[in-house]
Amino acid sequence: MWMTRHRNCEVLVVIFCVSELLTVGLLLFSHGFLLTRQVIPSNSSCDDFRDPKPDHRGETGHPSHTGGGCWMMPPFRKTIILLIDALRYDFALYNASLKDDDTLPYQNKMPVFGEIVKQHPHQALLSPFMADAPTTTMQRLKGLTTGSLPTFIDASLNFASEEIEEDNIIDQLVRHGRRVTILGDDTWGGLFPGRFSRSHLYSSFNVMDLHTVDRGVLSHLGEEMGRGDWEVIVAHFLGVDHCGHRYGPNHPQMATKLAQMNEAVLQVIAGMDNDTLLLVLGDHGMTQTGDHGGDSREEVEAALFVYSPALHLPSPPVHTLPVAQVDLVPTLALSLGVPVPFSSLGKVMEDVLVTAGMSAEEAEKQRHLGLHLNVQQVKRYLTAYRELGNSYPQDLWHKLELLEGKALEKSSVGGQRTAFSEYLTLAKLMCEEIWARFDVQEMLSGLCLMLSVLLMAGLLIHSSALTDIKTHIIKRLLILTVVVNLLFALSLSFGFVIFGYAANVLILLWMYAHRQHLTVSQLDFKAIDCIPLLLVSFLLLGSFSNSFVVVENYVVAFILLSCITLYLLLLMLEIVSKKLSSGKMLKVFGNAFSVTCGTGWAAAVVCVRCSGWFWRCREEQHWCLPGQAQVPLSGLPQHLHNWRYFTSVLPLALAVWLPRRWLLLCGNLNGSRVGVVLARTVPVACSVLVAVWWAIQAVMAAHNLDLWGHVIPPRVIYAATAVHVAVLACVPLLIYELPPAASRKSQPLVSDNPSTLIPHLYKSLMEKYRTQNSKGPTIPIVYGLATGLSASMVAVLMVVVVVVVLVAGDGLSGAVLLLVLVAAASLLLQALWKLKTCHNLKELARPGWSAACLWFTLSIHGFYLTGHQPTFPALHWSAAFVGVEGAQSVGNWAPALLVGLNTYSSYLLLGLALPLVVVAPLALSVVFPSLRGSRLEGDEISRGEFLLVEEPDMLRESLMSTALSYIFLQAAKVFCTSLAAFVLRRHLMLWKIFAPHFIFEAVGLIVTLLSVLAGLGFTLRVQAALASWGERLVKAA
Amino acid sequence: MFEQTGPHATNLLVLKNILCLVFGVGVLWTIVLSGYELASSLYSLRAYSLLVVLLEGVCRYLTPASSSEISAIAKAKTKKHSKIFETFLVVLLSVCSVIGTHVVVVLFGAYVIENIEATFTLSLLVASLAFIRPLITLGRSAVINLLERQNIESEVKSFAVLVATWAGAFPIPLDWDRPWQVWPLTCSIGAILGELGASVYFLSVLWSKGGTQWKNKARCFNQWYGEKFLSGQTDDTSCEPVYKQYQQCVKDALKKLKIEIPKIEDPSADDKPKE
Repeated sequence: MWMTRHRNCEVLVVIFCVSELLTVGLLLFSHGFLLTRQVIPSNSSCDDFRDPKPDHRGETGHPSHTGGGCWMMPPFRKTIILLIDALRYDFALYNASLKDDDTLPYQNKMPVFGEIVKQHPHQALLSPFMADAPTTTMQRLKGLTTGSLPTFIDASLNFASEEIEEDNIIDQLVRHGRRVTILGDDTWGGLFPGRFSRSHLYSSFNVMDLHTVDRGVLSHLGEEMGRGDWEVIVAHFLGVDHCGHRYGPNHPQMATKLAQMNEAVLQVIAGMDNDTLLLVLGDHGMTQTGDHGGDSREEVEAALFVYSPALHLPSPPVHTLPVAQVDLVPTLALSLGVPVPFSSLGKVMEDVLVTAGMSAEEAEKQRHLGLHLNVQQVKRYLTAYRELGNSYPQDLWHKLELLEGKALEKSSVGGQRTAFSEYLTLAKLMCEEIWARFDVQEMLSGLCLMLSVLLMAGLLIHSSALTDIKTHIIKRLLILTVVVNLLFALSLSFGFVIFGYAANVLILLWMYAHRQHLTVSQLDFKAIDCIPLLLVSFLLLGSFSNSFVVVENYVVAFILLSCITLYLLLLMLEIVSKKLSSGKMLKVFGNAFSVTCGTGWAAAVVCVRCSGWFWRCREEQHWCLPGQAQVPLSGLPQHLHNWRYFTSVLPLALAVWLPRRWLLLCGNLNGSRVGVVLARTVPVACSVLVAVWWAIQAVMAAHNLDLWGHVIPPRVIYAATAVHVAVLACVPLLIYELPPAASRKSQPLVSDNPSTLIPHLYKSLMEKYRTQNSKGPTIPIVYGLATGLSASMVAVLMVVVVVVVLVAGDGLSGAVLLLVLVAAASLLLQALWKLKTCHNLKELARPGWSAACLWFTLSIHGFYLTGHQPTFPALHWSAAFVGVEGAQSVGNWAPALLVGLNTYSSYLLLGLALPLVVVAPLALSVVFPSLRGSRLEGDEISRGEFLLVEEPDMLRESLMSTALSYIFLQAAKVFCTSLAAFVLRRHLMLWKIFAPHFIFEAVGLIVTLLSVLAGLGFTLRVQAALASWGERLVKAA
Repeated sequence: MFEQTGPHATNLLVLKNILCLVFGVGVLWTIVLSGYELASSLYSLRAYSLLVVLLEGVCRYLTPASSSEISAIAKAKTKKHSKIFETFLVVLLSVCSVIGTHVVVVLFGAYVIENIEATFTLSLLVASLAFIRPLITLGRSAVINLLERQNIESEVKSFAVLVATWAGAFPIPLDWDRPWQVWPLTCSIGAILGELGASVYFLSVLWSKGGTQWKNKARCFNQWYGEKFLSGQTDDTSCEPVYKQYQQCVKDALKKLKIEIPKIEDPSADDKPKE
C-alpha cells in the first residue's frame, strides 16, 4: 500500500518537475518580453519654467496665488470635467440628416453638443478623443491624469486600484492650492486617496447596476456647483459603460441613458460661470458588443467636448482633428495655471488657452508660450528618462534634437509653432516605440531553457527510464528543479541574465549525466503517429504568420477535422485489409464496428463544423459576422428570450444527462456510497440551479429589478462543486457490491432499470483464492468495477462542466456541449483504433502520439469554440460577475479567477480528462463487447479498467507518457508563439496579434499543466483506492 | 503488377496518362491565362472534370477487361446482373460521390450557402478525379478495391488528388491578396497538380518497367546468342527467368485481346528461343 502511494507520488513528481522547468523558461522569456515603463518619481514645480516676460502681467512673478498662474497666465479660474465612461465619438455626434425613426439607439441621443457648437462656434468644440490601448477604465484614468502612455502589462492590474505615485495633474492642482471635488466612480478614490477636498464616491464594481452611480452624481452635482469652495469638479458617470457591458450599444436602455447624460450636460452648461471651462469627455469607446479593452477604432475613439463662454477658438475646420487623450493633461494644467506634470507627454491644445478678451497678437503669443513651455517640459522628461540609463532609437532622438534647434532658429512665430508641434508629436511617437522594448538576452535565455526542457520531455517519453523509474533519478530531477528555480530567482533579483543561461547549461548537463537512462529505446513511429504530428507541426508553424494567427480558429478546426478523418481512413484501411476476400460493401462496412466508426466520425466532424456558430470575430476578420451566441440573454430582443432560454437549457441538460447515462450503463451509480450519492445528485442539482439562475437574470434584466438573492445560486453551485470534488477525492470509489446471496433474497435490488446494469463478476481475482479457501462459495458481485477507474473522473468532470457552463453564460452552453461531444467522439475513435490494432494490453493502454495530438488540437479548438480569441477585447468580462457582487466583499481574486475559468475552460476540462484517453479503450471494450477486436483475448479484457488497477506499473507508465506527450505538444505551441514573438518583435502587428497570442497561450499552458497534474493525481488516487479495496476483499474472502 | 499487362493495355495506359497530363496542363494554362478570373475558371474546371470522366469511359470501353483480378470478379458479377443495371449503379454511385464530396468539403469549412457554385465545382472536380474514375474502371465495389490496395493506378491517383486538394487549403488564409487565393481555386489547382503528379509518376514507372523488361530480354538474349550459342553451347537456362517474364507478359496480352495462339500455351514444351 505504502509502496503504491510512493510510486504514484513519483509519477506526479516527474510531471511536476517538467512543468515547473517549463514554467521557469516561460517566465524568464515573458520577463524579458513584457517590459514595464520606468516611473520617474520627480515632480514639476512652479519655479521650473518661468513665464519669460514676467513683467507683462503682474501676478505671475509670485508662485501659486489663487487666480495667478505658475508657468503662464491661466485663462480660466475653474473647470468642470464631466467624464462619461465609454462615451464613444459617434454617441456624441449629432447627425442632422438622420430621421428620428431611423436612428440606432445610440445615435442622435445627445444633441446638446451639436447645438452648442452650432450656436457658439468660437466657444465650443467637439472632437474625437483618441485613447491609447489598453482601453480599460483604470488605465485610461492613469493616462488621463499623468499624461503618459500606459504600458502593456499594466492592464493586468485592472482589478486592483492602486495609488498613482507618478506626478499627475490632481497632485499638481492640490499642491498649488486648487480645491478638487470628485463625484462618481470610486476608482478615483483608490487612485488619489486623500487628495480631494470633497467627494461623493460610489462603487463602480457592479456592472449590472446602471443607475446608482449616475443618480448619486446628479443629485450632488448641482449642489456642489453652487458652493464656492472649488476650482475643479470631476464628475465621473458610469451608466453608459455599464449599459454597454450589460446590453450592448444597440439597446433602448442605451438611448435613455444617453438622453439622461444629455440632460446632465445641459444643466451644467446652464449653471456655469463665465470663467469656467467645461470638458465633457469619454475615457474610451466600446465595441458593438459593448466591451472595451483593446485597440480597435470603436474602442479607442472617445468624444471630447470643450466649452466655455470665455473661449475664443479659431473658426472650426472642415474636418475636426482628433485629439490624443494625453493632450488633456498639459491643456488642463496650463489653462488652470499649474505646472504640467513631470512625465506628461501630451501636446497642449493651444487654442483652448485663448480667451475672448485677448487681441489677436496676444492670442498668438499665448499659443506660442503654451507650446514653448510644453516643449521644454517634454524635453526635460526625455532627458531625465535617458539619464536613468534608458536609451532611445538613435535616428528619432537625432531628429528630435534637429527639430528643437530648428524651432529656436526660426524667427517667425508661426514657424516656431509648427516646429514645436512636430517636436511634441515626434516625442510621443518615440516614446510609444521605446516602451515596447525588449530584453533580448533574457528572452533568448528563456527560449533556450524551454527548448532544453522540451528536449528532456521528448527524450523521457521515448526513453527506457519511463518503464521503470529509479527513485534516485527522480530525486536528482527534483534537485535540478530546485536549483534551476534558485538560479531563476537570482537572475530576476540581480538582473544577471547569465543565471538564465547557467540554468540552461545545468539542465543539459543533467541530461548528459543521465544519458544511459534517457537513451531512446525503440522509436517505432507508425503512420497513425506521424501524420498527426505533421499536422500539429503545421499548426505550430502557423504561429509565425500573422495571417494564420488571425484565422487560427479556422486552421485549428481544419487540422482537427483532418486528424479525425485520418483516424477514419486508417480504420477503414484496417477493416478492409482484414477481409480481403469478400468484396461486398455491405459485408465489410455493415458490422457494428464499422458503423460505430462511421457514426463517431460523423458526430465529431459535424460537431466541429457547427462550432462556427460560437466563434467570436476578431477585429481583423473583416468577413466575419458576429453570431448571436456572444450576446447574453438580456441583450437579445424580447421575442428571442424564450427561444434562447430553452436552447441554452437543452444543451446543459444534455451535457449532464449523457455522462450520467453512461455511468448508469456502466453500473457506477448503484448503492449508497457517499461518492455514488453525490455523483447521482450534485450534477443534476447544479444544472437545475444554473437554469434557475439564468431565469432570475432574465427576469431581473427585463424588469430592471435588483433582486437581493440573485448571487445565491452560483455560490451554491461553487460550494457544491467544491464539496463534490473534495469528497470524491477522499472516497473515490463508485462501485456497488451486491450483498451476499443469503441476504440478497430478503433485500431486493434497488435499481431503477436493472436491464441496463452490467453485472460484473469479479471472477478471476477470486478464483486464485478459491483454490486456497475452498469453502468460500460466495463470489462477490460488483457493479461498475470494469469502469471503476474512469467513473469517478467522469463524475467530477460532470460537475466541472456545469460550472464551466455557468461561467460561460447562457449563449455558450451549446458550445460546451459541442466540446464534450467532440471529446467523447475522439475518445471513441481512438479507442476503436486501439482495439483494432493492438495485440496486447501494454499496447492497448499506451495511447501514443496520435491521441496526444488529437487531444491537443481539441484543446485549442475548445478555446475558440467557447467564444474566445487571443485578443484582450475578446475577454468575457461578464464572467467576473457570476455570483460575485460588490468589490469589497471578495477582493480581486474571485473575479479574476472567474474570467480565467471562462477563458481557459477547454484547457481545464481536457487537461483534467487526459487520463480518460488511457482508459477509454478498456472501458469501451467492456461496455460494448461487440467492438472488441478478435486479437485480444476475451477473458482478460473483460475485466476492463480493473486490469490497470492490478497492473499499476503499466497504468503509471502510460499515464506518464500520455501526460508528457500532451504537455510536450502544449509547450511546443507556447515555444513557437514565444519564438514568433521574439523573431517578429519589430513586426507591425506585434502588439495587436503576436503579443496577445503569446500571452494567451502562455497562461493556457500554465492552466494545462495544473489541470493535467490534478487529473493525474486524481486518477492515481482512484487507482490506489481500488487496489486497497481489492486487497481488503481478498482478505475478507 | 505491370508485368501482367499486355502491350496493348500498356499502350492504352500510357496514352491515357499522357492525355490526362495534356488535359491537366491545358486546364491549368486556361486558368492562368484567364488571370484567375473566377467564373471562367470554374467553367473550365467543370469542362475538365467532364473530359476526364469521358476519357476514363472511353478507356474502359476499349479495354473491357482490364488488368487485375478485381475486374475479373467484377466481370463475373456483371454476368449475373444485366450490364445496364451495372451502369446504372455506377452512375448512381457517381452522383452520390459528388454529393458526398460536397458534404465533406462543407464539413471541412466551406460555406454552406455562400459560394455554393464554387464549392460544387470543386466537389465535382475532386469526385470525378478521385471517385468516378475508379468507379468506371473497377465497378461498383471501387471503394473497397481502393482500400484493399489492389489497383495501384486508381489508388495512387485517388489518394494523390485527395491529399493535394486537402493541402490546397493551406495558402487560403495568407494575406497576400492574390487572385488565385480565391476560394475554390487553390484546392482545385491542388487537385489538378496531384493528378498531374500521379500521372507523371505513372508514366515514369511504366517507362522504366516496360523499358527494362524489353531491354533485359534483348540484352540477355544477345549475350546468350553471342557468347554461348555461337560457341556451340545450347544450354539456355541463363536467360530463362527474364524470358519467362517477357513471355508471360505477351501471353496475358494476347489472352486479353482474345487472340488464341495454342502454340505458345506451353512454353516449356516447344517454344524456346531458337533463332
